[in-house]
Amino acid sequence: MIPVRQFFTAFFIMCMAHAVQAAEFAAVAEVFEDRCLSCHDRDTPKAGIDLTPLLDPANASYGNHTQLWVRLEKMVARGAMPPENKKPLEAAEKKAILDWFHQSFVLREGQGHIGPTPLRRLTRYEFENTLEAVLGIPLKAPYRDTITGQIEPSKITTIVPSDIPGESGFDNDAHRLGKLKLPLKELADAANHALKQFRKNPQAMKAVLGQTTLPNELSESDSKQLITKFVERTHRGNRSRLEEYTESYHRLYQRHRQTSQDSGASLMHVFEMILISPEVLYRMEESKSQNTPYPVTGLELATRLSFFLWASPPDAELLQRGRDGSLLKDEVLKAQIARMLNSPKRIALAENFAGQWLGFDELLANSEYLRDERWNREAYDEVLFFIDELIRSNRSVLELVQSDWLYKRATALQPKNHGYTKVDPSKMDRQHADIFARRQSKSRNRKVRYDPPILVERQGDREGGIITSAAIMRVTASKTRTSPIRRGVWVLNTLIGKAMEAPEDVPSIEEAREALNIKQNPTVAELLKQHTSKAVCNACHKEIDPLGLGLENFAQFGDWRTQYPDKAPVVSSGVMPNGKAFQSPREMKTLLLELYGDDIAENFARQLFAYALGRKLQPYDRIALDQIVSAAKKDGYKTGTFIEQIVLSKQFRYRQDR
Amino acid sequence: MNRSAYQIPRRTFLRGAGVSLALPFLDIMSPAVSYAKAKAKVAAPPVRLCVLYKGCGVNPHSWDIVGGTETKFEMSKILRPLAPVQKDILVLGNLDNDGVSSHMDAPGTFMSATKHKNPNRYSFDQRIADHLDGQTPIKSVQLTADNVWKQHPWLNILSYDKSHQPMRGQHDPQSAFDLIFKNAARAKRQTELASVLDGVKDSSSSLLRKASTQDQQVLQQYFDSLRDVEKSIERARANGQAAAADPKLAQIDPTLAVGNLGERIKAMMDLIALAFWTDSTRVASCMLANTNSRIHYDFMGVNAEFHYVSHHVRNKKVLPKYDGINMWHTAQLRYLIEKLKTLPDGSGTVFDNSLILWGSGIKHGDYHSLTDLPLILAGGGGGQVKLGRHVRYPTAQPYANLLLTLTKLMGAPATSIGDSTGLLPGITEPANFPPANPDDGTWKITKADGKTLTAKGLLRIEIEGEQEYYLLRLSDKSDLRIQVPFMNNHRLRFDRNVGKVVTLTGQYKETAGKKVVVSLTAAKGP
Repeated sequence: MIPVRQFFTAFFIMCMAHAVQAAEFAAVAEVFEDRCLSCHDRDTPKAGIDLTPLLDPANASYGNHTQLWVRLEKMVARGAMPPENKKPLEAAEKKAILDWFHQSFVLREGQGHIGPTPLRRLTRYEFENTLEAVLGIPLKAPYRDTITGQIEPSKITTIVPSDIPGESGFDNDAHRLGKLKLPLKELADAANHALKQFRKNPQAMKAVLGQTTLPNELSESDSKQLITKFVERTHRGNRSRLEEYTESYHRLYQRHRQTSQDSGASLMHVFEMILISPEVLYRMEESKSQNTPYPVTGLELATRLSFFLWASPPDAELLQRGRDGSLLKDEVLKAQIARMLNSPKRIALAENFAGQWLGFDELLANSEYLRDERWNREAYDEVLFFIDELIRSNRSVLELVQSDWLYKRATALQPKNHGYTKVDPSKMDRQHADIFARRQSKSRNRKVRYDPPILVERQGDREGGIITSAAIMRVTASKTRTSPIRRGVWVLNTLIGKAMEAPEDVPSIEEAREALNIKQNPTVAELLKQHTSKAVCNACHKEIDPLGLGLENFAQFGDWRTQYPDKAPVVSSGVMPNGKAFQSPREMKTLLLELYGDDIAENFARQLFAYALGRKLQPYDRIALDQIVSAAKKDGYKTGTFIEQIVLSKQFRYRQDR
Repeated sequence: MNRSAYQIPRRTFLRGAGVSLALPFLDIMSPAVSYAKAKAKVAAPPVRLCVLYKGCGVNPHSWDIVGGTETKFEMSKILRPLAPVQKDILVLGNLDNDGVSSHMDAPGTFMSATKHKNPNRYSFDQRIADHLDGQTPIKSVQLTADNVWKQHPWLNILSYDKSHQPMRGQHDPQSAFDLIFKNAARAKRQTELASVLDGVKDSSSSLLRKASTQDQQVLQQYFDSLRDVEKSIERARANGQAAAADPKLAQIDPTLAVGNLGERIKAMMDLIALAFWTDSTRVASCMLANTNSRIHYDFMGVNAEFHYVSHHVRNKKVLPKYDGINMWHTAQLRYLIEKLKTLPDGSGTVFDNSLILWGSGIKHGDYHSLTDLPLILAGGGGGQVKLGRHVRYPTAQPYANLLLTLTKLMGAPATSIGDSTGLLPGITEPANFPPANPDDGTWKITKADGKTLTAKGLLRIEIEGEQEYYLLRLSDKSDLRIQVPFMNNHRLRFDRNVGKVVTLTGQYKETAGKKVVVSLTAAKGP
């Protein structure tokens, strides 16, 4: 190993003018060699990690080995490596690694930057919202205040295939969307369907075209004017080349008109082209071909903000602020955020962002989870309303784990409140409008009426937060049994943001079994105990198991239980990795916050930031992320602060091309 | 789809004819007769490929065929549902995929034979589809019977396109039906769509020039998709869209609504059969069950997730359910085989001109092993494949070689796929491998003193309900029964010797003149 490193180091020094940098890297390489390679070299890559390539100075900055560097830096910064049974790094050794990482991966030539800005394409969800917004028609399955026996998808979702999430974990990931084959035919069919609804809707026609019906024959100037209007409306305020587009589409209109039965048909034909044109499906921004960050225009910022908070195109006011440039000012931007969070369109944050992040959207999307319409809608709504309340009342994101209030399914309070006390709304410090007001059921038929969940005070020690909600308890269990491991992994992966990847060099199970001395048909508890007795298993299971065991009082549909179907008692006590014991779910949650509260808040910031940017976070996003998290922490981790800080970040307001 | 086998072809024939008039080898229905006869003279029927993936592996002992010869062999427990069509299948053994695999990755590694986490995923079915592009109205059909996970779509994705991007499968049989048969038949909409796309091209083509280099790459994807849709429209037209105006088409009301998994798979098998028969496509894949399948097969009395019961080693009581599900899945293959055999094609049936690969990305359901994958080939492949056999390669062969061989049999040019090293012998011709464990007459009890015995023989396993026991086949055709405690078996790793000739020593009891080994002290493989 040594000659290799010496060779590389020598080569590096010869080739690089920056002798100082070379010396710094040599120090880092020395630490690797002294402290890391004995377990992580080519011959003994423990946990599948071989750090040998990192000795090469050519791999010491952005390139093929960036992910390995990121992983290494994380372990070193956390103090997780070297492992507990080895001597920890000296302060100077640790500093050498962290400094190098900061200089080479976080900064570029000593400067902070935001990385290349990817071109963003609309997701199916955003496309549906766009069609609704520009055509002024409802397309989603209408809200029903009764039970009909099935959960109806919207027509658009039956036409257009769902998107596939990218590395960010969200389906609005620009890199994924940029590579996936575009379902253009399906998008056109969806636009076609929407336009048919549009023509049948005089109110929408009036709002968009200024007339409730179209005459059989439009004059040339009228048709041109309507096309201009529509192009403007769909191009999100971008008026560049408006004339050119109008000319082009009008020519196509006239060509179509030669064979069509009336002007309206030709107009809709051209509208369909416009709706699926790249100008609409992609959020184009002007490029200055710079490798340093520069601010986007007001209109571009308006579009970014709107798709972040609403997953929908900007409305007239936002476009106005964008066009006159005032949106570029902090105070105007903040005022617009507040205004936008007051709108029903903010539901995108709970429905689209949190739905994907926490995975409760599977309750409506995946037939595996279908129990009956009422149960699924109630379980889904409990979490949806909860998340929206966090935003509406600007509450701490840590209430996801524990809160004194919650939304409880209406049927749980019938016929007599069953001990629940409704929360006095004045205690919630609400800052934004109620977006669910219209969901109150008007049906008088008890059997079929569907009521939205009710805001109640937490009852006893069982409830509060969403990690014990029926929705989460269900998506982390099978329909016949619970799995403490699945639940523990969910809390760690999803909520805390600690990726639980099985190491690639786990001993073959036959060997592991042998070592574990597993008898036939052990009980769940025995198995877990056997797991944790072995170091290789224990490394992860000491974290996973208590989190899952602490939730064992909740059966697979979220009902409270104290014994299993076979009458064996439920034991929901355990010991957290820091050695503290708990006896109930409530105590487990308290320890969870104590141990991981900051991690949960940071993870929330990461998830929301990645969703806002449409890409996985990179080391160069770290400075901004730290700023967001520390500002939010000062403010008690309020959701509004996260949102505002993300919007104010350079990543969100600037652009960079390389 | 509660229609009997013969009703469907009749009705769909009309639909299919409406779509493309592409029933060149069908002689039983008058409208297409003259056309069919004309075309039959000029071309041999095309070969079609269908991949059926069933995740979660198998219990090897219930899968492996022990003993027998290439053509005379006894079906194993899981293969038993295929007994009526034994002469129509080729069971393959000892094909290894390389490395490790995970739940998410198993379908991808199965279809591309590249290693775990390798991003090069261009799947073999798509290589074939790309080669055949333009010859049928639909390039390829992807179906997924297992539930689709919003967060983990990978689980269900088999096919990856040329740029290694995942291709989603249709979960709803009705949508799949529309995609295959209806879209092509909607002549008016097709014309309209062609004109819409034309218009977009006209108005937006300058966008590409003005975009940054990075954005251009993304936008290129848009214009590529646009061209693909245009091509598919042209193809649909060229395939004879005139008949789409057939008023009978409008009267057909497909009943593709499905409840449970069984109905869904049946509907999908029917769709594949019809798509092949009408030559609407020549490449299809279907995810019967993914490798992390959470489906409860409650329609057959299994009240636990398929994935849960697949981890059977420490939970033996699930074994009958696990085997039951796998047997149910081989029965689905049988359904497709029998279905395809009812559809006339050229001088034979669609079955004769199809290649069906049924398999799982892992072998052992609990260990997730990638060696000796459970694989079945069916279909004559246009007379190329020799069926009715069990071929077990004497030394392990790369699984990738099978994909390469299938690609070749489909007429697509490929020199390598994944980790392939060459074509696989024994597919188009008899393998004639020497039998694996020839009985040399030495299989017998060599020592028995009333307490301990030593014996040599071929070790087999028998599974009766939740009970497993071993049998040592001796040269005199008798079986020595071995029934030892779990930990005894486990410490000696005795189970690994199943299917091999083994010499063992242990204590025995004699009841009713029959020796039963009750504990083992030593066991030695070959």
